[in-house]
Amino acid sequence: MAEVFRIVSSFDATPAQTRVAQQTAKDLTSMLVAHTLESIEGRTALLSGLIVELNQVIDAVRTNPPYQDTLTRLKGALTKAEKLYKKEKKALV
Amino acid sequence: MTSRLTMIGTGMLALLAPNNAPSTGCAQIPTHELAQYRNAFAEVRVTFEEILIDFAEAKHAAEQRQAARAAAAAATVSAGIQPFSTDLPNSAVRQADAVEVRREAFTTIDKFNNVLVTLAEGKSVDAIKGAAGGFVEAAGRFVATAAGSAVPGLSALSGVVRTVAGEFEKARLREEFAQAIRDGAPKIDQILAALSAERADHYKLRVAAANLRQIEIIGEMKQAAINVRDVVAAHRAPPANDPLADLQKALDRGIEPLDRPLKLAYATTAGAPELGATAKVVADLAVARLNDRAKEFAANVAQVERLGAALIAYGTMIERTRRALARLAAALDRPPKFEQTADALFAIAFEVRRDIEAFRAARAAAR
Repeated sequence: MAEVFRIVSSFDATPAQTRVAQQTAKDLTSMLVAHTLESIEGRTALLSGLIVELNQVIDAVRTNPPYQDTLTRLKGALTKAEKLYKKEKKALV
Repeated sequence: MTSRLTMIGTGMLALLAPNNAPSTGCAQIPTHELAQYRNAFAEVRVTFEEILIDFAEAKHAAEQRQAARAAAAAATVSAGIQPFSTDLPNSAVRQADAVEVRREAFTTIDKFNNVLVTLAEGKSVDAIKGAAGGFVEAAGRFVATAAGSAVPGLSALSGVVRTVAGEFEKARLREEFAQAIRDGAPKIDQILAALSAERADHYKLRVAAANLRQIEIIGEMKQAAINVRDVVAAHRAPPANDPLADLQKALDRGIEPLDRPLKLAYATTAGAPELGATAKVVADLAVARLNDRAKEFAANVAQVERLGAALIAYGTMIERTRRALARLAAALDRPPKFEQTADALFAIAFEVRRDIEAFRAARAAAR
């Protein structure tokens, strides 16, 4: 690319030489860009996979205690049992 | 009655203890390291959004140039009988949107960080203390209803159970936090490493476009300089007010980026006309065009330099975030300071002792 710049900026270069240099620059750039876009595409696939894996880690984290529901249910059951007991006792008396 | 209460308490502890009490893990959630990591990530996130906008534009422009080039190449292929293409029509797998995937990567890290914060905040400790205390009180009320008298020291016993349940929950949260970091940190590090590496591709796309633009600008500058030279070369010097020195100075300034000297010289042939007002205007217009292109040249150079500087700064921020994450992970295995551990244990012991004394007092009063 440095050689292309040298030719293009030279006042001694003929129009034909300048055209060839410009075309060479376009070809070289196109190859570089194609390779770069492929690299970006590959990274997109890598990132997609990592996102899935990180989401799995997030899903596996238990932010709430697993036994909280059990305690709440047991408390409810005891309260209900207490009410039933009172009712039965009253009925007996 | 006491034995019933003891059974409730024992049952409560048994409910909490098996499989829920962690045997390993960090002694404390490293909140200082977590805050440092989150601050570093927040800084990167803001810069990332700006970098991503430019990345999206650069990528889109590059893809359009490539597509236009491919279309032009296809158009030059001569019509007529062509060989079969070996590509199966419409078989290309649609790629995920590159920009959206990068944004989603950051959103997912954000989500993970929020989970860490939830664990570190430990709001569930109060919730589980409330649930455990509520359960014991409900059990006590049931026993009292069945036995016909209130259970002495129930609220104190409930306090003991609440304290123990809270400590179990804190330990569980610490273990969850440590496990989340152990599983999540390597993924986040890989995401950040990929985004850091991507800076090179981002820069390449912009530089490739800037180089092509620079070649166009240089061509236009060169042509404008040649026009000035040709106008002067087609005329003789005027008898008075010779503009040659001024034109040469303006030309030298304009073509400075080309780093190529171009000497102006009048015609030496006898028949050449004098450089009049009209020719001077033509030369001045060419100089003005040259100056405009020189400004574009400088702007093109500046945009590449600024992008380079921004990407370097962005990379530094990513590396800082990666180091902060590594410190957070390392803090999990760091032994806690003895003083901190001793203080924490003392506080728990004091709380339990206070509840037990209240329980004994209530029992004694009930006798």
